[in-house]
Amino acid sequence: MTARPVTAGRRRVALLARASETRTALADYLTNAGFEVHASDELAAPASCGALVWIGEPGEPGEPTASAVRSLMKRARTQRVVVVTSRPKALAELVASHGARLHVLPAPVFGWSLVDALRA
Amino acid sequence: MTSRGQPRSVVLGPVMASPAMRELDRVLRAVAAKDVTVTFVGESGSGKEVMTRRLHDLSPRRKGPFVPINCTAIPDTLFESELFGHERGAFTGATERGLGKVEMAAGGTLFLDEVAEMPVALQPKLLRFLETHRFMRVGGTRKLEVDVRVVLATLRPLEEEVRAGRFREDLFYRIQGIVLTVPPLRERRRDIPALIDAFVAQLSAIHDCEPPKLMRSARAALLAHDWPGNVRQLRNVLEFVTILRAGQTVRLQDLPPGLGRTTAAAAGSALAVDTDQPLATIVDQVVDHVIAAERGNLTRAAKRLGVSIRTLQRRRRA
Repeated sequence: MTARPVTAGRRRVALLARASETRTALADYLTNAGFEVHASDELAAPASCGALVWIGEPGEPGEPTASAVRSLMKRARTQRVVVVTSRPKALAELVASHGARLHVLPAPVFGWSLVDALRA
Repeated sequence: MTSRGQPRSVVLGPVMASPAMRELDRVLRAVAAKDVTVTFVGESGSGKEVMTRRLHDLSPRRKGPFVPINCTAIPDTLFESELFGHERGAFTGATERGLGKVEMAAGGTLFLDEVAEMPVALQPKLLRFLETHRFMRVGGTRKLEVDVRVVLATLRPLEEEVRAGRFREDLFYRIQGIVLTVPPLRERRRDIPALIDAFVAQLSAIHDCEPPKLMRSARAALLAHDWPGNVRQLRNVLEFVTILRAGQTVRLQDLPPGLGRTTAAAAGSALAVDTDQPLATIVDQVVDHVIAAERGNLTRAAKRLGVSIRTLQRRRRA
């Protein structure tokens, strides 16, 4: 008897990042890791995506970060949201109110930390 | 990385600025697609798990899971269940079937860190699994088969553990597929600037503070230190200065006690060079040593080496 892989098949993920270099590199990385990636530079939550990844700008202040993620959480409704930011503490209240649906990673992170967060 | 110490990107790959790490990466690229057991040997904190993750990412298994196990963190009595899983009722408290790490890693990579610490009694079962890719859950009656690549890591060469009777010889020979050494940080000092920038940025984010600005003397001290605790120790030192000097400058005297003094002594000392390595590597070591001795001042370092500053800069980029 063969044990089947525990992970699900291909997952569709929305990648939201303003910096085109980051967006392109990360889209490639996530695609190679088995995700179907919908990359965008706008704050959007395509219904076809099971999870959203929002990449903040390096050194971005806390309040605009919290505001953007708050807005994203409203649009996302049920989707899992993974945020990479240099201001993770600014999102503490949002994390408390959204629980496991919002996962915040302090920047910079390894690409595989994102993969692990999406697969968790 | 930018020259002002802020990483350009919020998402990073492993730091490979040094010739030693670039060479290791070249080998990883060659073996990643091959179905061979890989064992990483390296000092504590040198980045064996990072390189294993890199191997996984370069392999056709990258779409599958990466499952790490630290063999020192699991009590002997639970090891078999942790690795191979258990059936309901297999032991007191086993109220449900539990999947082991081997099954969780199906289609991907299973990483056994500090494999020399694995209980001797369990080593024959690991050997059988490596040979057949078949296993049985604790309390189970059926053999299961799983497609998984096993990568191992150890602090010391396993020959020493075999000689001491702590590691089975047959298992040792089975896992002698490809043994790769992760160099200690003192042998790849060119990775230190990029590591500093990445850690300072990340630690400032974690501790919600402005990043400190490292003065040239402090950077030179970090570059010259021997780092017996490797990358992990560097991160700890940077956490210390990030918290204590948030938003301020970090001078040599702001580094943890011992670091500055050791460095000052090291900077004036003779360089011990292992001549059994490529000339380019030896030249890199000499260049790095002189730059550290001149506390990061490239003009003075170039003068001391008798080359132009452009030659020195080209050499550092090579």
